[in-house]
Amino acid sequence: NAEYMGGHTRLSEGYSILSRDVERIQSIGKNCVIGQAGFHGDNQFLYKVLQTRAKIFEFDHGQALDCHSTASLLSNLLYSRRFFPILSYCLVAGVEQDSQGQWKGRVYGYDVVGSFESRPCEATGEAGTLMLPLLDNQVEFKNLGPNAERVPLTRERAVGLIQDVLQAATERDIMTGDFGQIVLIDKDGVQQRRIPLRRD
Amino acid sequence: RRVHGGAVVGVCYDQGVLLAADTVGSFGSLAKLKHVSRVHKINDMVAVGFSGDLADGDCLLNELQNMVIDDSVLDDGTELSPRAVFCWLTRVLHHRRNKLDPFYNQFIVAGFDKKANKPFMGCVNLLGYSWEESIIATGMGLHFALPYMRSQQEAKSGVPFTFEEAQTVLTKSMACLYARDCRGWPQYQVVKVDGAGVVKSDVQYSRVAFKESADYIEGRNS
Repeated sequence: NAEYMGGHTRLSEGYSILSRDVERIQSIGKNCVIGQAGFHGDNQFLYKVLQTRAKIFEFDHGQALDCHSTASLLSNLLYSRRFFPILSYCLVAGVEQDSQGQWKGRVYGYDVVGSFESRPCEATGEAGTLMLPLLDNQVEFKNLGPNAERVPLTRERAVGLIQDVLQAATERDIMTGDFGQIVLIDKDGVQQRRIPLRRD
Repeated sequence: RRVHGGAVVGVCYDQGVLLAADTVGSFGSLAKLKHVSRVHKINDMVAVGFSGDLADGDCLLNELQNMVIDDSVLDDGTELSPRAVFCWLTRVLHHRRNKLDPFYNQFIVAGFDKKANKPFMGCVNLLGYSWEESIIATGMGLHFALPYMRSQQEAKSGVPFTFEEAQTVLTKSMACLYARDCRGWPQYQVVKVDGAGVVKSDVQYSRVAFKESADYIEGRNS
């Protein structure tokens, strides 16, 4: 009934660090956040467009965009630029109510042209491939032997896992580091926290 | 080969922002134009500095200045805020990047946000991405000035620079750029933006003591 998203705050260009303090996870509506990796210019552009469309939706329909609608909208926005892609690797995460009124967390992963899928966990960006195997193992219990302990994912464990995964990515990927931005989304809204990461 | 400008360096301090850029327009390795102004006041809240292609930079500067004139003609008491200039520049530069015909510049927008009562500084580059930071250097400054500025900033552990500290950091950065960048130039201008407005200084000179260098280095005295 909650979702966590983690990202890092370093903006780099080649081997230079332009900024140590760039937030990549931003909120759309009340219960949804979008995290963006890839080309920072296109990320900013896409977020502006998405935010504007979300506002227009609110004015037209009197209610905020919910998570799966945001996901669908983003997919269409990305596909509209199929032949000159917006180089933005997005993740949309949020909570929404299902038909029984239960709040469920959802994560949607995208490619640059808008194909998306809801998954239990997802990682994207330069270091995404470093983080994803660990997440598969600990969240979806993939590739665990028959006798290995399958620890259920509570909120505390999820935060710890995201911190560990960000630290692990920072150790191995030169472009990741400085600060980790961890965002919790539940039915009450979005909360953020920062953890320090290696600055080298 | 086109005429281009070198680094622009910006430092935020507790009450405002300082921006500096040297006054040379380089044509490859030729110092073609010696009195080019690359930092400009836009209005009472905002200054910009640009590096890269001087023609493109001047074109955008002209647009900005026209926007300021439009504001004063409208005379409704509002002015372009630093963030507005920053956003406009980002959108324009990003749009041109999408047309595969960029404005070949890196802009630093320095301002004092009167509503938030805080200094603001951001950088936009030719690819159309932008970031806000309290220390920014473009061009060769990224390699020469920024590490020094960062070390000074981290020595302060989160406390902003005072005006004197910011001035020292800026002066030393410009001196370093003159000493180490082949296309550097000892004359530079500084713009100070704070709550009271925007002040552009006269041309200042980097004082670099080459006498301390090795015997075999000769030719420049300052």
